[in-house]
Amino acid sequence: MSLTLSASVIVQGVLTGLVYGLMALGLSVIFGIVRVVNFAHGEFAVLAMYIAYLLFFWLKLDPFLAALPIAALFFGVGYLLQRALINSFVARAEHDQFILMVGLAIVLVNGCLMIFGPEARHAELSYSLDSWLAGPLIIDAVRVYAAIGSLVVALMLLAFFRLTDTGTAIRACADNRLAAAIVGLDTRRLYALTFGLGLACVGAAGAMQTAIIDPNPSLAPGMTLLAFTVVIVGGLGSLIGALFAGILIGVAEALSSLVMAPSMKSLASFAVLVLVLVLRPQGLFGKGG
Amino acid sequence: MLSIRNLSVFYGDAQALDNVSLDVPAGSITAIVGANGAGKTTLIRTIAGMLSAASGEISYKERIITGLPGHQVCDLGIGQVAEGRQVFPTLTVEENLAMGAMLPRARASRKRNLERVYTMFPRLSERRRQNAGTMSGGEQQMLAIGRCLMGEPELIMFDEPSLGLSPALVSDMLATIGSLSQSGLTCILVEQNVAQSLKLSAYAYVLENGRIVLSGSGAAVLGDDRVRQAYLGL
Amino acid sequence: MSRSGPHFGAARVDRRTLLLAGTTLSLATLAAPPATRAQAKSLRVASLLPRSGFLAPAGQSCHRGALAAQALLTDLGHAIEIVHIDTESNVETARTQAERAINEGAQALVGPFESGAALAIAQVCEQRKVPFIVNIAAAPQLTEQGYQFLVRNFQTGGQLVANGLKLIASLLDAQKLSYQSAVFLHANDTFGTAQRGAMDALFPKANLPFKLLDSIAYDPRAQDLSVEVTRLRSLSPDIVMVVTRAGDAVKLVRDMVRQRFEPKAIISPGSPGLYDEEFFQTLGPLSDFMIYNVPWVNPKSAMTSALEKAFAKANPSNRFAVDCLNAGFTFEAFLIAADAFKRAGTSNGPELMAAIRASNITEHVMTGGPITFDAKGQNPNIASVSVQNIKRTPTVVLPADIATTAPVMPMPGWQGRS
Ligand SMILES: Nc1ncnc2c1ncn2[C@@H]1O[C@H](COP(=O)(O)OP(=O)(O)OP(=O)(O)O)[C@@H](O)[C@H]1O
Ligand SMILES: [Mg+2]
Repeated sequence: MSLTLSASVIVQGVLTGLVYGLMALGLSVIFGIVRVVNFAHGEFAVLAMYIAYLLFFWLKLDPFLAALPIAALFFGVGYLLQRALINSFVARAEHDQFILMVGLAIVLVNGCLMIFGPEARHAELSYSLDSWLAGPLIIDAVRVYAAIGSLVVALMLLAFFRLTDTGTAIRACADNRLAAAIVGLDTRRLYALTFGLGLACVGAAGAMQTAIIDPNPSLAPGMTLLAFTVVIVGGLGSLIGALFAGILIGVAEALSSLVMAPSMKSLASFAVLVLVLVLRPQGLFGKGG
Repeated sequence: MLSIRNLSVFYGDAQALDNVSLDVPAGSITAIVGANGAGKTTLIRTIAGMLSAASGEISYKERIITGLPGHQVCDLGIGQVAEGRQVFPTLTVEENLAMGAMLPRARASRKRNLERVYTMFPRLSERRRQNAGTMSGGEQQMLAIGRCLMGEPELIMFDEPSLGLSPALVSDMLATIGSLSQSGLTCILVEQNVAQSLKLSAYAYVLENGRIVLSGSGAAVLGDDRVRQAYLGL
Repeated sequence: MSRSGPHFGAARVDRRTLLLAGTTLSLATLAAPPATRAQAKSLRVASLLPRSGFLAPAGQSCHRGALAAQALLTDLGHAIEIVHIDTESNVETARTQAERAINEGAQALVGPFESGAALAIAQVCEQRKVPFIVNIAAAPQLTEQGYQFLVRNFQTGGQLVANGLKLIASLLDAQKLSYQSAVFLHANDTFGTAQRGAMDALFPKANLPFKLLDSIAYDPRAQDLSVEVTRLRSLSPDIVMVVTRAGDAVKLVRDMVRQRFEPKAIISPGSPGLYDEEFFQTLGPLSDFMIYNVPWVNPKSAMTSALEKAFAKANPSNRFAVDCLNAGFTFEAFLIAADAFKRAGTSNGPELMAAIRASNITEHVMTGGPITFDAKGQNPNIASVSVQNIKRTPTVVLPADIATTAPVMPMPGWQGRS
């Protein structure tokens, strides 16, 4: 196996992995803090892809720019959804939450199917086929843009949680729910904000993905599964962990399709998952056992 | 300042408070004593808006607050130093204190309050960048009190603040509460150290199985035979 | 993924109601004396195609051929009535719809573009003694299991690969090119895997002037094929042989362009994907110069021009040049049924089937000799030709006697195309 080949595959893996990371961040934020598992994760991502596609189709709006308004829209949707619907399920049994989220997923994916049909859509950007030469490596422009975009969004999110009072308050909720109520934090509002932020991540990631992948309703379950894998590998509730695990899985997938058959790609992420579950069940960045 | 009338609270079918009435006068310490499971924590959490009452009424400064959500109750100036300290373990000391000042009433004077807390507990100032979870029990208790003070409360409810502290620290703790009261704060004090806390208190209520069975001035309750037998082992 | 097509909500209720109505009707039909059916003036043929679900693009393309077939066969004086049925890209739906079609009076079945559905329908037809003419489906076992009521007017997977490889040799010969190496890249679904099997068996015996460096399987539903292309690029073959399915062909070309990988030829030894309208629309000039070795409509046949006219009339917004493999084979399946009905003079299943097996149709549209069937029900006379995308239009480039233009090899680079 030549060095150049491995190097370019690893670079691709890292780039793809960063987008995976952002995708998973959305799930991780919601689970880590609200303790609700968003089973409609992939469906929201697909919805974002379709919106980005439509904005491109109608207004020629670049998906990387569309990521901003879509993230804002998804934030609003997430906020209202949590306030109106999910909040009343937070204290309910897990299977009730499961049914709620799966119901939401079915509504979303079938909505997309009814409106857009089962065929994939292509958003052909002027630079979709551009690439750069970096020594012997060839790097796809869109993947670099998507990776940079994901990294920026992820860092903004991390900064928000570290540096702002509201961000700290959300972390406080995750840290000790009872204490949050005791000091008089408005936990319902913070949960709604969190759900909104989680969906905003998914929205941004989905929109940017449109430049790389063609939106198609059948992508949704795979995206949910991938996000779960990344979150579990990274450690439940750890944001850095999600980002890191995204890259890890991106590289593992890319390398496995190089070393084994490319069709084994999806097996690679499960292999990483199983390894982590056996060797470090709390995930790479997870707390305690 | 705070007045409770005929309050009843249930956990599912189990009744935890039964027709409780009590008054907390401003500027002094009111003690609530009772055995384990008597309903003291339940009472505090109901006042704080964290539990909802089945019946009865709570009024604070002439205003009925029954049914208000917790964060609004806090914003009226009712603070709480909870049982088991309840710090945010992965947040730093300073972040913990900041969380106490998230109430709208306390935002503006956050800086000043922080200085006040640090002067009051120099220990916290030394450890401001340390994660709260890594501190000793006494330090965590200081943090819980400091965090509560960050919200500029007018009424503080202490739920067993000396639990798990060494005897020396217990005295310090009670002294701190005494001086807070001296400075004009109204306090509700739930304590295991019945004798020490009743001495400090102007008024006292005895809670048994969710009911008030005895009330009066701190000294009177301390002198009551039933109290002496049940809580002081005399 | 295939759990739904455009048919949703209300449409589903309609279908259920229809099914009920259909069952009632079929009971009436069954009760009718067989004589009235045998003396029918026209032949009722059900067209079973995946018009929704993941095979929808191809199913729709076949369907357009069925629409043209109705018009053209009537013009040619055949008495045929085509009933259109959607199999929803689902094997179970194909089975129940076949059953239902027969209950509702279909006297022959045509379809279904796909081998899984074909096997399911074959079982139904065998039981009910109704002729089944396979328009497109390549699995060898269709004609290896002794079905009495099935004929296939399409190549088996093995024939596709064998003929496809031979044509690659002819292309190199004709252009006097000496290419050294090839890589075989294929989808890992049922069809792709079967083609891989055929390739593994046939390539060593085919005596081709180039080496097969590697065979790479990929998931046609993968989000992108960047790693596959990276690997391909590092092997740097002269020829890339591909077995694509549909949208995956688009992803493949895009990643080749991004990675500036420009092989001298991209050739499919017999698969769809490179000539779907979606492929042309999405890739524009980048879709040009792909070559696929498949049976095609014979541009020199008179019936082809007749079909092309009928197709244009029935489907004004679609290009015959793009649809013609699917539409052509679908048309021929109906032609076989109509021709046999004319000769047999009856729609009675076994008699009609005997006439179908005795077919010898010299005047038809697809490349190759007359339509006949061997003892197994397979048409052995279908020929593959080389077709190349030129100016977004599939164009026959080999063999020379029916080619409309010469092949463009080596393939021009990706940049600067128009
Ligand atoms: N979440 C709960 N669900 C059900 N029952 C509860 C719950 N919390 C407390 N209880 C019950 O309500 C009663 C009062 O409990 P509470 O915690 O108010 O007592 P307490 O006086 O604070 O006791 P302690 O001195 O042990 O802190 C007890 O019988 C307890 O078992
Ligand atoms: Mg208690």
